[in-house]
Amino acid sequence: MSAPPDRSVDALGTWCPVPVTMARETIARMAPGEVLEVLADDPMVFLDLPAWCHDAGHEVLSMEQRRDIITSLIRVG
Amino acid sequence: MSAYLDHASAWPLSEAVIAEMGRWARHVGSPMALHEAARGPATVLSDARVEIAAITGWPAESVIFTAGPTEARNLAAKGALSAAGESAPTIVTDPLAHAATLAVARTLTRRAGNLRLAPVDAMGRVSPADLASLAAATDEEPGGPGWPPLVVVTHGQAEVGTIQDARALASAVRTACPDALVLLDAEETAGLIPLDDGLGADLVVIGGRTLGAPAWTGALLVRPGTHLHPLVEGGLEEGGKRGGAHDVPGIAGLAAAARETRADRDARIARMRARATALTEGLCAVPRTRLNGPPVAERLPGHVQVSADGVEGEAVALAMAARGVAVSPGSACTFGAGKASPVLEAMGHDEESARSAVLLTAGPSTTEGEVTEAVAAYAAAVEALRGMAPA
Repeated sequence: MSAPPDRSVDALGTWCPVPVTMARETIARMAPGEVLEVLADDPMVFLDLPAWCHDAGHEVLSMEQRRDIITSLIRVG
Repeated sequence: MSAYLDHASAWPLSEAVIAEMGRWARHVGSPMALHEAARGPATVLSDARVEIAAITGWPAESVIFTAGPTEARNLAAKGALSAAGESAPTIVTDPLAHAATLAVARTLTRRAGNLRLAPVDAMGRVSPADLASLAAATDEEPGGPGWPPLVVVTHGQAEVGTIQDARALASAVRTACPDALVLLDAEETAGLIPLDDGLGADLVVIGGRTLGAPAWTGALLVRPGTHLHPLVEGGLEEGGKRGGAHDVPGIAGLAAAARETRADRDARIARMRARATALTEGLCAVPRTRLNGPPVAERLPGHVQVSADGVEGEAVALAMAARGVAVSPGSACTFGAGKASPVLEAMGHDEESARSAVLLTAGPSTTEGEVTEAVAAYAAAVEALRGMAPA
């Protein structure tokens, strides 16, 4: 079982690019190596979040969908 | 106006609250902007979030500022059920819930779902066992339609002043139905009665009025881990849960009022209860007049509702207004509907008693003189109206 994330962003009910923007604002206050959890239910996060992480130098550890909720774990680069 | 006894509608603002609101009304700059002018409004929001979150003890991020408690009720119910993916919800509440709560519940269950109302006793109290059994009714299965149920507990009842044992109600619901979403409507109690840990609820509605802030201010407090969709969609404001520009002056006033109330709560409750006691004694000395709802010590501070034989509450309120005394007919919220109060009818009052109800609500600054004037105006109004009635 993986360790709990250091921070969490609840972007449920918002549409891209808001989840990515919320993730970016939170990561700006985190240290390299920490893990952010992002909760979202816009399927576009499957595309937008990895694309932004790639550009910004963060690592997507996992993206899982359960019912409508997509849970992403990102390690801050 | 020589006597103001309508704090159920609006409270006077303190000079400190007015000053804080005025300061930020004059300031130019959005809290969402990047430049220097944003710093002040952004600080107002973050400080206010900490102040309001302290009402429940939850983190600052739990606070979503709204335009008053009615928006917060809508956001809580519609947002939580939307996030749960629920299109045929089960909603459990009671007939004494705020009119906005009942309207939202009817809208959400208009096409599919169930609205269940728990019975109330003669004092307007809901039994934890009744509420829990409705929440755990076997029509729904975990993971299926109507699951989890949304249970709405109205902490303080605006018309009759009943205070529910919200923690016992939430606890009973949790025991019977651990997945239930519990919404606490604390519009009438925020700032007057402690709401530590939201009294066990997942979502807590507060309004500015009982804190001494404008009635158009309020917030929804969301227990960490509770999922919510926005009602008003927009951008990043309020963590994506409430789009649109912030009412910075209103939020500044809300926080200033909350600070004042926190420092002075016990004293202001004592003043309000003393005024309610004097009002109740004076009003009930008018022949064939009686208090509706619980006794003063067990009801909302400052809250008095009476019914008198042979008069209409609306006519009494208008006659008192003509004498310079501000009160409401039985309900401050449903005035003008031309119907007897469904709240009083649910508590077992007949239609005449329900129609004759008048609501008088004292605040921390209400004086003994205002109480004396109100009692005299009430007695004169009832006597005059009874004299006009056909023999």
